[in-house]
Amino acid sequence: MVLKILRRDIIRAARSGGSWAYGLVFMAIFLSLSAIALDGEMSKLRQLGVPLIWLALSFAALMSVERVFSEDLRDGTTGQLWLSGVSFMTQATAGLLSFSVVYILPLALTAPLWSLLFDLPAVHVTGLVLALICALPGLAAYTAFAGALTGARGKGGFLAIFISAPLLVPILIMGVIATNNYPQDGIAALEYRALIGLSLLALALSIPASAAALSVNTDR
Amino acid sequence: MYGKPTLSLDAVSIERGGRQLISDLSLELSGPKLLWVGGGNGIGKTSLLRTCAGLSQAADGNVSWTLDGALVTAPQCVSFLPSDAYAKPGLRAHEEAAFWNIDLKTTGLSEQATTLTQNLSTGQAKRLSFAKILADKKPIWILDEPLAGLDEDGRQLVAGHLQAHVKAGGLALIASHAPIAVNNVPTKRLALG
Repeated sequence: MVLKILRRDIIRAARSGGSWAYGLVFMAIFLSLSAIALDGEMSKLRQLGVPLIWLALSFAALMSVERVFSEDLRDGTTGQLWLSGVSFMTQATAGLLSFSVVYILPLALTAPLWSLLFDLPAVHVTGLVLALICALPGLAAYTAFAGALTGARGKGGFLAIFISAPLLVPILIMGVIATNNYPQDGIAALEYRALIGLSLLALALSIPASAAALSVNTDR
Repeated sequence: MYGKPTLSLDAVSIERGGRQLISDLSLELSGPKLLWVGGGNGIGKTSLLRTCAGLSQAADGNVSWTLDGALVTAPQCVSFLPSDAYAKPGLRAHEEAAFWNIDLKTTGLSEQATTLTQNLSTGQAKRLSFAKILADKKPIWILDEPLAGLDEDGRQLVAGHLQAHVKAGGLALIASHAPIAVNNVPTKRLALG
């Protein structure tokens, strides 16, 4: 059923008129304006490029929070799936997976493109992409958890951001340090292992917590 | 034929939005049986049906389901048709059908197989939702306004399946403002309010 839900969400995203790309558009605008605000000075751009890309990606992920679980909760699909024998844990896993693939993965995969705006060296771009891949499950898990908590309310986006933003801080800190240390230490850097650990922790906490939130929010 | 399904409500109270809708309701229903739940708007029919389907928690009391005397969970024995259709926009009818393991022929939707669900009429969307009830093959049907939006042909289709379901030993709980022509099956009425 996890793959069925993933397939359904990918088909719907492909026919949604590009709503899956709102996060990408936000990143493009935020990073372009940041580069302009820094006066196009190359030394400043190179210095601040990595943190700004991480920040933009985190904001873009938070902006997509209403797209995970929310519609299924409000139109009754979550309850129907439960009655069809699909546990809330399975639904939480499937929702997280499809949210990662449809909304978060495109943000991470386009990071090299945004790096051009800041004239980042190739070695930093490689480090950035690797760090994003390590952090992606954690980013998606905490954001999806916030979506499961607030999804039934509609317009719960701001509440979701307040809930998930503090949880994303450790990932943000480790992500920036890992990217900056990549030229010296490579993938063996402690921060990459810390990022993977944070992502695993996020998955372990968020999936059961999201399942519990879906269960409570199904009762409307 | 189904095993003997039983739905039991033991001193159930239901609240919504801080308002008590149903107080201390006890009921035991076994198939074959059809229960009509009646009452005006806002009296608590939908809340009661959702509670009987396990989708909402009772404020007090207990709801249980058994099959041939063995205690089971709601997903093992209950199908629920909400008053609003829940077909997903962006999917074609055959894709929605594949997601829920539905056979579109059962509710006369074969010709709409490639239609996007948002382009289905209200009645066609209702038929799609009802097809899921048929595909589930569960012994307890809980139907909230099953005729809403249906044409005469659709109404007869629902009535026919409902009659066959109860005659096969099933249990059905229905809230409907429109009359449904189901005859010659054990019937009970519950008037709320």
